[in-house]
Amino acid sequence: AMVRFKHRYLLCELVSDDPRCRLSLDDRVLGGLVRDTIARVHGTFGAAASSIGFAVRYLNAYTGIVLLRCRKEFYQLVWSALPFITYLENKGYRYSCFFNTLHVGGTIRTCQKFLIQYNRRQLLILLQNCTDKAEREAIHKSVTRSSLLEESAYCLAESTLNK
Amino acid sequence: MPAPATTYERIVYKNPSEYHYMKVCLEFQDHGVGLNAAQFKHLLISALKDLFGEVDAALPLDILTYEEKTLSAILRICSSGLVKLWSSLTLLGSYKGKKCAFRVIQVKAMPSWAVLVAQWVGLQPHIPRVAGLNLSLVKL
Repeated sequence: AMVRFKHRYLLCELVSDDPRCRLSLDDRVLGGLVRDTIARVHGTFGAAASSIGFAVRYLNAYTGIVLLRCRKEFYQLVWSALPFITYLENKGYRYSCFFNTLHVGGTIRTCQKFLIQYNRRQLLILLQNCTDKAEREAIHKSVTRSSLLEESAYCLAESTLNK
Repeated sequence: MPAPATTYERIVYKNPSEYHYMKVCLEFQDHGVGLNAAQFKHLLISALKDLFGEVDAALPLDILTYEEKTLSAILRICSSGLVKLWSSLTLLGSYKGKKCAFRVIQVKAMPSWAVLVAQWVGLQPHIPRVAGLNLSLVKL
């Protein structure tokens, strides 16, 4: 049997009223905040169990997307502690926010695939809801560019298969 | 003259009970430390909170009886929380800076004696429903 350490990757989105909240995201600060919240919600046992394989693997301050890694045996401790994070602190200023878990995957690759699809859908939603003409053109350009990239990726895959 | 024949009845519960009952006793290194029932319950909940956090500090835990003189009590906890409660009692080392230890005297899943105790205390005892078996006390 193949023996290796299995992980779970939690893809989360930071949702906040204040636009400055996402910009103040920092991977070390966020890692410390999640660990403190797990210690509060699940005690000494939870803090120790979840901290073994815990890491912040990806962080995007513009979209507020965060990818957390934890061991498969204790991922539920981390997942259940996320709703208890209610604010982000930066330079003495508190931004009230919450974490919305979008996807739980076994590898970074599955989370990336999900994120690409999710972003594409979000672009279409933004296109529907936008009011300004310049904004609409910019989003339209992004949508066509992303679908072109997908098509080119498919063509490349097909040509390598046909060879 | 032979003694009159006695009849016994043995009750077997087939489904696992929802609650476990623990008889515990709190021992202090120094004598003369007293706790009332509320302080005792607070101590139990803070032990759970320390080791397992706020989620498990909210487990449905009841103190069925409490004796202030001997600092002993009968606790009732839902079965999924028994291991957590027992381990947090094991790791509790002090109360207000004074060294102490919990001694677990008895742990039971079947509430026959605790049912009587609970009735005396005034709580509604939880009796698991078993199909096809009469729930009657042991006849002597």
